Amino acid sequence: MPPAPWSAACPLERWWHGWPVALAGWLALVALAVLPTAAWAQDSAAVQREATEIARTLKCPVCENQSVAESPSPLAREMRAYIQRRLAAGDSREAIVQDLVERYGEGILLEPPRAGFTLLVWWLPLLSLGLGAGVVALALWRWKQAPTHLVAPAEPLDEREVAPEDLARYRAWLAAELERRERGPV
Amino acid sequence: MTPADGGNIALLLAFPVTAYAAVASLLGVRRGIPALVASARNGVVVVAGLLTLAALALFHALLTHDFQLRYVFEHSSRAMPEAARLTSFWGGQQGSLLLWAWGLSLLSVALVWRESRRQPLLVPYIMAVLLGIQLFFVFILGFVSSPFERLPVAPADGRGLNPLLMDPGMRLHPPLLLTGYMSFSGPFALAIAALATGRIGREWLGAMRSWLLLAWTIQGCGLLMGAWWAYHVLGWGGYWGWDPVENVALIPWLTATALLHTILVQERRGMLKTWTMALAIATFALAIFGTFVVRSGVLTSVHSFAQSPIGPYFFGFLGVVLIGATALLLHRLPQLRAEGHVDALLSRETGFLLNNLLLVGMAAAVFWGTVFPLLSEAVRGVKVAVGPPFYQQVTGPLLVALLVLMGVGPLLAWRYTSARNLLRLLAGPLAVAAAVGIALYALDIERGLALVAAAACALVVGGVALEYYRGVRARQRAGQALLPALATLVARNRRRYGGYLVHLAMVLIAVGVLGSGHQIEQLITLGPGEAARVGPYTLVYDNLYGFRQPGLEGVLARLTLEGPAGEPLATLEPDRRVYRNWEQQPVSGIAIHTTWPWLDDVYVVLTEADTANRATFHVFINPLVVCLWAGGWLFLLGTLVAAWPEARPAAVSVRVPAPPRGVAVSEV
Repeated sequence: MPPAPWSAACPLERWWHGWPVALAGWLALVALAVLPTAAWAQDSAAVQREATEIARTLKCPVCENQSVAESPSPLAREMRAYIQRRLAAGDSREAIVQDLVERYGEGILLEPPRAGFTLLVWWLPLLSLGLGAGVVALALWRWKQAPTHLVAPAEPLDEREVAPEDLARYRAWLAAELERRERGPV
Repeated sequence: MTPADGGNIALLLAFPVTAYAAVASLLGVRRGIPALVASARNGVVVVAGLLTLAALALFHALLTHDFQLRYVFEHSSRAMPEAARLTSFWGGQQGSLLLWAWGLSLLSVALVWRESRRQPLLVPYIMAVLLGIQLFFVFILGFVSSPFERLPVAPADGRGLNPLLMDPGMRLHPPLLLTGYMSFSGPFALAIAALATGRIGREWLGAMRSWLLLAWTIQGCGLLMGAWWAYHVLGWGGYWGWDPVENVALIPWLTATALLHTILVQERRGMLKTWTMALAIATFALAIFGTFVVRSGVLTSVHSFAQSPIGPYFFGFLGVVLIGATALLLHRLPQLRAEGHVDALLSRETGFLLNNLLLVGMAAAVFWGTVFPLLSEAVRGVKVAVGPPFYQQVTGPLLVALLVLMGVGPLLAWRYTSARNLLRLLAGPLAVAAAVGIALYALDIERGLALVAAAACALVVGGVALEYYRGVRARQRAGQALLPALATLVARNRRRYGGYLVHLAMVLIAVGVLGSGHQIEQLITLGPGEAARVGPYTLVYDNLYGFRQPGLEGVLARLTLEGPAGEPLATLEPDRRVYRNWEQQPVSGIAIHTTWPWLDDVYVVLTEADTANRATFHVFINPLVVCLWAGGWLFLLGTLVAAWPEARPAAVSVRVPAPPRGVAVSEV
């Protein structure tokens, strides 16, 4: 069993031994402080919340990149009111969204439908990620197959190919490094 | 001759000078004529001088209301205060492109000056690439879309700037992003020069890292500044809307993040060379794409692309960059073979590979979502929207995976880590993560992916704390006191410990994002003297007051914010203002107060008021959003620590010394 990293004895270190516990306790305290907000969130009216949720998934037809929930435009305001009315009348989310899509077109759906042509937008990221994972796996596998010792450069290089200033700098560095090593570890 | 004429002449002159210098540097190095290279080097300075003159002339025209210039007429007005008129410089397409080109000219001077000492043999190629990019921009600015275009008659007043752009945040955010986009030219020029010469040595890696770090930091600050501006000005209670303009700025930053990490692998293990080059090229191409998207509105519709005069040129340039760079890369492929190998699956190399997979995967997903509406319109003639719900669902899991990797990766050793050793190291951070996860679950605060993300954040914090602790303890063993030990630890390994600070900054940002998921939103209408409860807080509405400033007038509502126990916390004054010439577009002044110690942002927007002074407020409670801005500062601090030049030569951290015959080319 290898020794634990904090096994050496010194009062400060023994105090440090408990750091994960201390950190966890502190984080739990912060979480407790956040709690009141989270609890209050449950209280607001359910209909309004659902209406906002629906409005967030719809693009305001007359704005650039603003959802119906965010846009200050009169049309968006009307649409929000419409959603609330329909929800209050007991209509389902799907029915409301479908009616709005029929009126304003598919372009108002901020979440592209997972069907037909727009299925592409969902599948391509997954596909490319899978492909990338395959490439990474292949690279790892091939690297693991290769011998572990360093390979020499394919062709020996002529010193003339090396820039004189590079060579001079390198030699200076080598000399300094050798001297440093002779002096022993820092 | 007015100063604007002078600026125009300087801009037009910059074109032949740039063309000459680009040709001279290439010809000089290929034919071996040092005098030509030296003259090209002077050319770089001359171009910087000319573009500085042009930029100063545009500033002068904006300050002196030279409305004869179309640009000044369209983007400023007499009513605007001076500082806002300076903002107009980057309020439109031509000015933004001029800022880009001007920045590039200054970057070129700095890069050529610095690298002349570090790697003189690469400099002619670096110059040629930078001047080639410059040539494109100077051509556009001089002959296609000039900021010095004149109107036949000088109007009495200008149209002014969109009021949303008048905020002080706007003075920093666009120039930061434009400078960020521009600075990715540096790493690109280095990559092309290395591919052209076949010299990819230690000096090159160092230069690559520092110039990339610069661009990455500027772009990162620009992104955060954009979030800050959206949060403080747009009034919808959020900071990131997955808007195409935001997305295209994020994509090169993601690929640059991946690049920063692969450089480490190349430095330590001599691997991933081709990939590093490909990332540098892709990042630059994406930066050009971003610049173009921001300044042309191409993503609103395919048709606006055809109408934009600069569109075809930009796509032509992008094509040249991609095809040329790829051809060069393929040509050099045989020399880019890896020197090292992956010895074990459980190693830091694997961690970096996964990091790249996730970052590039995320960049690809965001890119795909951003261009998909165009594709749909072109293929089917149907415009579709790809909005926040898509991006949240696609990038969410990738971000969580990145956070987990950020927690585990730094604890992995190079080459090989035993599972036992890793578990021993991970025990502490995992305990912290489990404690946080269980606490959040038990208190019913987070569920599902958000719960995993929160636990992963704790894992990263635990891991970074452990790394710092191990480093400090080793120094304490050697007899140093706590604070000096910490100081020397960071000073001796700036890159590593600075990098950890950036990781912590990312955790803070993630915490801000998680917190803002608990937003409470409420619309309240109050008469004077009435009060309403929003979440745990109470807002007491006092009354409406009118106010007037040069160029604008408005009304402000005064409210008192009270805490859960009824204690007064702050006075909030959201307002609604109308800028002259923009009467149909009133702007909200948002009041935000961060409560202590809960770190909730109480965010109040005045939406409507009637003659009886009854006012409607859109109120948001945004928990922990302040962590985003704190994370931004920590990000800046971390990159500064990591980028600060090392006092001692890098010789100390060198791996096995290479044989002398392999000086410049052995790492090829």
